[in-house]
Amino acid sequence: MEARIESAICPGCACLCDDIDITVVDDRIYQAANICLWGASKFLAHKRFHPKKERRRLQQPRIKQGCLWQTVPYEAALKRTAEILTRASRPVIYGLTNSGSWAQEAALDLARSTRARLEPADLAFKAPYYRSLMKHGLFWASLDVIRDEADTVVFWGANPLHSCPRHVVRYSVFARGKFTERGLEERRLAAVDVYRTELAEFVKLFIRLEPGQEPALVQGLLAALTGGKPPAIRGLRRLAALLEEASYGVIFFGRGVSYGPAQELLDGLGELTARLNRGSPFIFFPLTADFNSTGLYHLLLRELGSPLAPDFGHDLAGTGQAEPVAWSEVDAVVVVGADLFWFLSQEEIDRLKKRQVPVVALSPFANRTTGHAEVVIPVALAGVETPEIAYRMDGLPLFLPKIVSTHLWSDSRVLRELTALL
Amino acid sequence: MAKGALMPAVEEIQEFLPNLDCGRCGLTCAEFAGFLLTRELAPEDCPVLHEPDYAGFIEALHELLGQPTVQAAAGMQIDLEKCIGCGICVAMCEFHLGNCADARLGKGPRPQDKVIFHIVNGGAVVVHQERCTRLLQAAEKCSKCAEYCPTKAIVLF
Amino acid sequence: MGLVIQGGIVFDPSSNWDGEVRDLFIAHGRVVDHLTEVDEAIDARGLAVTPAALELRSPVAGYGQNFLRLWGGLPSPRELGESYALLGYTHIHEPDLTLPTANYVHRELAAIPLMDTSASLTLNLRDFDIFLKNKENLSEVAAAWAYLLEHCGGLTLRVAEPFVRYRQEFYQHRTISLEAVLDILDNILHILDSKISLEATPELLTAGLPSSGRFHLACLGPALVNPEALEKAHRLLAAGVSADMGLLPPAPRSQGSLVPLTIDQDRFAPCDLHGSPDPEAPRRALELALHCRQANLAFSAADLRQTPVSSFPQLFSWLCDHHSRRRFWGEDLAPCSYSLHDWLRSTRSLPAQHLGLPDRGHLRPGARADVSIYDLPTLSWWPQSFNRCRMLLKAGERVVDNYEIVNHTVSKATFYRRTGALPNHIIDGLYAKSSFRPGNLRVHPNPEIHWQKAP
Repeated sequence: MEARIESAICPGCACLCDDIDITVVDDRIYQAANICLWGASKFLAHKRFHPKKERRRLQQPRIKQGCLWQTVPYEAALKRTAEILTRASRPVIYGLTNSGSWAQEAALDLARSTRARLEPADLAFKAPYYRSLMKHGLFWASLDVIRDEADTVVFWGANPLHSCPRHVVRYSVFARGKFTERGLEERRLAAVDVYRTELAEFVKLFIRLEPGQEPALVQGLLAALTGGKPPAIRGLRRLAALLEEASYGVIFFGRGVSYGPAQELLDGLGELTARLNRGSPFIFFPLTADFNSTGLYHLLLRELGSPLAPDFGHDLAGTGQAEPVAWSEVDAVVVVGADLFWFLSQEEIDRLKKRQVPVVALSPFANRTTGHAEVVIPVALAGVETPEIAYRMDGLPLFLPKIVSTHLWSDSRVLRELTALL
Repeated sequence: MAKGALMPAVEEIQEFLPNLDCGRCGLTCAEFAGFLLTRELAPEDCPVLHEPDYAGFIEALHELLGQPTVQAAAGMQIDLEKCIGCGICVAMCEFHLGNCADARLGKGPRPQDKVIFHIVNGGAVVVHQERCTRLLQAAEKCSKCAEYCPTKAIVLF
Repeated sequence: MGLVIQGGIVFDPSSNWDGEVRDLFIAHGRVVDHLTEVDEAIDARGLAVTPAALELRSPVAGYGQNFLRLWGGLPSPRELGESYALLGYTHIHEPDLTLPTANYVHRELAAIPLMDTSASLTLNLRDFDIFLKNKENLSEVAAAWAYLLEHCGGLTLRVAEPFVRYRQEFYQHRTISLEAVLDILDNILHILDSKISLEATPELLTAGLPSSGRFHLACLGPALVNPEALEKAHRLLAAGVSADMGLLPPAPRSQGSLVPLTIDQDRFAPCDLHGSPDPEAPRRALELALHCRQANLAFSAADLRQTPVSSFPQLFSWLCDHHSRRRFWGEDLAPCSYSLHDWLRSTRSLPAQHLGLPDRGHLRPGARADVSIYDLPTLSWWPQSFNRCRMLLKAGERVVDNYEIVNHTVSKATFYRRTGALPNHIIDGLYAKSSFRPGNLRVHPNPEIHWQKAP
């Protein structure tokens, strides 16, 4: 039986493209039009970078008994998780940037009731940004306004073709907006990165730097703009001219900035943006990749007054922490919609195992973390198999209805029932 | 192609198709017509045309399409191993610029929009090759789709 | 379920009840004439019984407002809902909702507990400029606005920039002056038989509003940048124009030490949420409010960053008590003060009128049973009694009792105006420019929000 669904919303990345036209056959997604590879990896369950390879869906909750896995019903898995959290004195709930807003709200309640720390998966990327905002100010616009207005676009430590492929077409480079009707022809582009990416195909001013050179470039730009003497960095003068002559500019920064001295760099970029705004409007915008990362920080800021990682173990108000959690101090982890073990170093993984820190993984797909976890709880895909709310990277929310059915529980249901047990 | 002869339009092809959209070939009749034009399929590939009600249709289609050995005047080939489905090609296409407001803006085309190709399941797929301006222009053929593809997944011939 | 509030001293300016002892009968969440049988009686002898207050201007849910919390400029939704309830409010209204941000605003409003909510659809005249110049198009523009009002879930119409201006050189020919826009708006409002709220600016005060009575001047305070603006505002209020106060604290908080917080909403000028007004504007705002207490002037605070809800009792005291004024402002500022009647009128009757909610802001039969009960002072009428209500009923249900919130999960709704208008080519053109497909641009069927059509 075939069904056509128009204007479905894709939870592949934080673009939340809402123009996906889907053909469902026998309650399975057969075809999705207008979807890039990243979205296809959500709707058609294949690996992002290797579309021919299938991602394995988890079907049943399981608990590790010694070296063996035992399949259990959801209730048993939840019971064991509740035991783990009750015993722990420094639990962490990690991830949540690939979960819908209802799941995030449930996780916040759970963190409160278990005096846990809620650790967003991309804290190392976002925390320095928010701290820079607080110092230098916020210059914000929605993606539609950026598409309509920006004649100057800079990608810093970002490769949208890798993190959110349709961004360059829908908003930042090729789109033809109200005041940018010639699209690519009238956009002045630049990119800064530590290695040459596909952006170089259409971004003429591509500045490749050594890792660690970026803060110097930013300071150099500030010097050039304020009439000082900038250091001799290749491309600096051209970039300074590009920025100065902008009528309306955007600086998109990506995950690349978090791999080096993130706070220093983001403070510098924040200061640069504030300075540029004295001339023409300039937006400073994080190129979020995880589909509801923006929703998580929005929630934390709204409910707790701070977008940083709330630590309810620290105090009842859940003071926000800017530095990523020290895994050596954690004694239980609940991973929600993230592959924690992919990001940890082998040393950190070994130490967690040595200390026998119990790991509970909520995930739709099998990954490294589910391989190592003590309790594995499979969940439905948010925005595909269960309805959810997600926020686009510019902070506008969309309601993602259910498209196909599943016997699996949603992560918001798992988290809510867990809180009820405790 | 014989000198002076034009590529038949999809509508002309469709006159000799069942137009039932039964899906037995895996496509709609309109899509099948497109594949006939690009020579990826032959009239014999439609199971319904073999029925007595459609006698003579296969022969008529062959005549319309010209000799099977003749290549299409121009077309695009997409390497799906390289394509990431970003849609830059769809937004930069000259035909789409004038015929599909959504693609011009940077959005994905709607199902009913007039397009040459669009992104399906993460890769670019041609649906109406015959609309491509490369078929009409004698010199200076447009090559925007291939030019702007960031992974060089499009080959034009 | 029949309820009676017995023996209370009822104050309701719009019903001309100024302290008469009356019983109030409530059934099915509404005030009724009389009930012969009641299930419950609330003893309100010696207590002041008033309609619950409505907040006409509560900028808490607009796009970008959440960022204020980075600098402690806005409390959590829970704190907002509770502060309003403890003061005796049951409804708050967000002024800044736009077509692209409608879903955002409604989600934020849904997060505030206890309060019913609504929002003004803020129209961007630049979206309609080519149609506005021609009188023949105005009925279509009116129809488009009526359609948008319903489909964005808005309650009233608002314009933040009553002119059309572009930064871009090649769009200069599309400029429409303030005066021309006011004339055009008057025509459209006549077609719609509706009112519109305009954000007050010095230019607007000087321009001279059409006398049709269809315009509401929002947030006067920050617009009073010089004595001329104050003079113009006086004249407009004397002529009967409806407005709200836009009160500000004496010394604007941390002036100069706050970083910019600009949100570009596709208007001529981006909004700076950290903007600081003219240093004399606060004094002029209060002076104006005091002199015009008989006018069509509703209570409002300019922004909740400068004057949080928790500081409203202080604002009320400046209006009502000259001792308080002397303490904070160093002088009386005006010879008269607000009476209880004046204060209730500006916080109940007028807001309900401006929002177009005929069953609120009063306690006559038919009204929704939103009732706030306060201790009645024995000496001067304005002590701390009105800083916190003793009891608050919302549609007959207790929200506050014995000065505390007793029902944290009382049902709440978002009120919108159903116009029944159909989309036209203007709407199609508008939607075509958005990055969202039309189906996703309309307010979506979010199960978190309970919608209610305004009467």
